[in-house]
Amino acid sequence: MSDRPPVSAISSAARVFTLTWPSVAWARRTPWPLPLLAWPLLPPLLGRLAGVPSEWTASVGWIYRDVLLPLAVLFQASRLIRQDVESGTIVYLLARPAPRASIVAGQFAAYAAAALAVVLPAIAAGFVLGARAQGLDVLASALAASTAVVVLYGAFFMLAGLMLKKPMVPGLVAVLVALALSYFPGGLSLLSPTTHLRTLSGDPPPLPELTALMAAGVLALAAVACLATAVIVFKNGEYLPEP
Amino acid sequence: MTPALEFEGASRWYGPVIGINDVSLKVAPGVVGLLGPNGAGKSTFLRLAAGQIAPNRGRVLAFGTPTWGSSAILQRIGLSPETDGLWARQSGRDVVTSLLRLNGLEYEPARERATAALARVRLADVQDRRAGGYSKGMRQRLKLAQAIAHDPDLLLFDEPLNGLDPVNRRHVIELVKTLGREGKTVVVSSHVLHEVEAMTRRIVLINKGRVLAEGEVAEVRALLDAHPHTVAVRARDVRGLARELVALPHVRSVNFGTDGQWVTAQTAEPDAFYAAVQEHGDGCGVTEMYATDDDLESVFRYLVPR
Repeated sequence: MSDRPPVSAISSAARVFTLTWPSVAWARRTPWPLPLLAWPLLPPLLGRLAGVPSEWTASVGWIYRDVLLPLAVLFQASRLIRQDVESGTIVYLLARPAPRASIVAGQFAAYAAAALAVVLPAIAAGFVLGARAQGLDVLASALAASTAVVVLYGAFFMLAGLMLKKPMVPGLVAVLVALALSYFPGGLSLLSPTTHLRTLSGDPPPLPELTALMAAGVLALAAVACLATAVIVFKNGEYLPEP
Repeated sequence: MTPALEFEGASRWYGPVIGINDVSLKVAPGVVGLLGPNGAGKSTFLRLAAGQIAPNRGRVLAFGTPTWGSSAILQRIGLSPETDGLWARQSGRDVVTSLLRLNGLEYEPARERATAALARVRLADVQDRRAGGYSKGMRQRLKLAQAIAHDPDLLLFDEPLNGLDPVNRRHVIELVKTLGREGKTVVVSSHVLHEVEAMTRRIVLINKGRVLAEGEVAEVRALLDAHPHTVAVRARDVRGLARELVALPHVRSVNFGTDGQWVTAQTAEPDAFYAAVQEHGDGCGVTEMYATDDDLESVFRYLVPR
């Protein structure tokens, strides 16, 4: 065993995923954001039960994409790695010859898989339940924007959880700042992820030259930047179990 | 020959608190006891050795490679930390298997090694139970199993006898000695001298972050004999156990805990005391035992020049 070379980052990440998946998918705090994640299902369902037809996009609305989903993500993603520090399991992960980047990647993948497993089916089911028929392009845009929220905000809040001991309040402020910034006129609103998420969802962009593809590119770059920073922070950090 | 573990003027502090201070030593194969009172710097020493934290000054090397920032060297290190946290929802075997997979093993070989390691610490019969349902002693042995499962050359055990019942305490002591005989380098920390003495003759004395002495345990033991040792024992029949203990000639006093499950005894001969509990313990349902005294403090008062 002593001569065995260190395991590759990708295969380590897959193994960290397997190890941490159960605790990421279901922990004591998990039930809290579940209603937020499942929100897309509720208005169409209630509308159908009450016999009040409504368009799915209008009934679910911006509040899900811009506020509720980011808040649910804040709950879930900010405790990645931190929950291992709190429970003491981080010591066992760091005692293994797995590159630290793989621990970040494996945990993030476990979180994203768990979140998307709730969000995407909820959106699809809500779309089907919606009383008025809408094109599949509306569903595709909603799925793409929600996936972007889970990935981008997840990466950002994971980083916040690594850098801050109590990331909830700053995270909440970040969500509100992103929302407020998106209402600023002209180019300034481009600094907000919310603007790009809206464009990805099919809303009219603040600048005519901004396309959905460009918005997706900006969001992907921002997510990669957050993840890369999280890897650097984790690589250089010390994580002692909390007493 | 490159030493298994080497500290080169290593210091580590946490803000204003000193963890270890200018420690230089080399550890050769075999069992070495890292001995010191609570807060002496033992856990910091082991964390540095395991690459979990970085020294603020100096270097810490395992087999010639700095332990901080080198994930490859961790292939040769096994750590059983003081912290109790493990993945509570997974079975003991799944925990060890998953951790072994982070050492690069495929699932089946990892499973086989995990099974073997759990058998080695006598957890075979409960290996498929959720780790969250394990007693403190079982968790302690699970920690040891995951540390030895990948067959590392350098083993770091932080207070490995904490929470163990007399039978498993003896078994773990034997395990540590066997690992030493197999050519491994085993560093075992404890704040109880006779625990370390049962495993090895080589000790490193540490207090307030400084290495006070390295060498044979007999010299330190001589200083301790004048002081009584306090041992807490948990049993179903504490009154029956207390009756047995009071009758022993070397037991100076016996006290009951407030919860009715513990009895603490002061003894001048800890080895004889443990043997007696081993002998009478089954009838009284002894489940846990540990030394509570800080007698080493008095030894350190002798050793530290004023």
